[in-house]
Amino acid sequence: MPSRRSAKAAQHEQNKRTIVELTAWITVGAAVLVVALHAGISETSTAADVPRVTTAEYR
Amino acid sequence: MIELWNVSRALGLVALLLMGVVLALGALHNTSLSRLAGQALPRFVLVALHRNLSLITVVFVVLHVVTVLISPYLPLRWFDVLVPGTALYNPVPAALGAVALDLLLAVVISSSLRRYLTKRAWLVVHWTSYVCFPVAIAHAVANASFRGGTWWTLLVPLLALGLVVWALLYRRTARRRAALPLAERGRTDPAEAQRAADHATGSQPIVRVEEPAPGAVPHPAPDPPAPRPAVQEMRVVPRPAPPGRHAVRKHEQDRGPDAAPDAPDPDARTETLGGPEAPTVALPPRPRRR
Repeated sequence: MPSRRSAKAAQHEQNKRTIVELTAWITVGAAVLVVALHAGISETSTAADVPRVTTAEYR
Repeated sequence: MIELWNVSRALGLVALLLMGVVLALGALHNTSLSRLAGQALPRFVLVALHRNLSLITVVFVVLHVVTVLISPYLPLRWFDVLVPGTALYNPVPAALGAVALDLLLAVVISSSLRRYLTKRAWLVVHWTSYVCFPVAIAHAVANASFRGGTWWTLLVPLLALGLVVWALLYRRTARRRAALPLAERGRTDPAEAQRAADHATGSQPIVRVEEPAPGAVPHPAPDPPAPRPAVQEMRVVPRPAPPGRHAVRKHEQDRGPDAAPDAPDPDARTETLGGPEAPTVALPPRPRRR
């Protein structure tokens, strides 16, 4: 039977792991979102979306 | 190279979305929603998440700025992203982005140097994030092309703005503690400080009953005995220090032999928002955490 102190320490370690895992998952989600947004922007981009580039240069 | 420009736009949009999440987490701090989430996760988890996500946001913002600088489609110099109004191309949106970046840097640097700042100074700088976010939203909207095919990217700042507005409205409507004026924040209530000192030093309230001196002549019994209260005097006295507590002994020696044992220690003060007049507890210094 674990003592109360060891259970509390184990819960604290679990909470710290939760912070790291949540941060990592959100970072991965943000990176995936960057890739998705880049793909979407590249797909729908027209000449008007590109600064200082004429339509012929863009094509 | 056109892909680099698109990557920069995507990085900026994700940074804006992350900034909205960070701002919403900060706005929901100490509300009923954070307390509700705190039943599953301790509060320090939410605070650490707020801090970690803000650092990730800074990373995305830095990547956004770097890709904009190295992209050949924008004639931006390195100081154009820091000094507003110096950009030659698209000056107004670039100036908005520079202002947002400067405010973000101020928040990040002040949070990094928080231990060297007073809480009030840090809080004032930290609240500029409420200015940084609308400026960043304006930067994103002004840079979006309303004529091109990427008009749908406006949904991202709209989503981030909606998230932050919802968090602020929830914060306003949720039941919270009464807000203190800024000048009062960080002040220490003397009674509360005394209670904290009693708790920290282990002082226990004891009852002292006045007893007659050994040689004193007892008073004649009064005719009608007046009703005496059960407790004549209740005082809080410090518990005697154990023999191994040298720090407490040294601290008591510093106060001088003439100091009354119950008199408040003149050195028992700390730096608070309200200045040095707020009496606080005198505790031995805590070990510094690395």
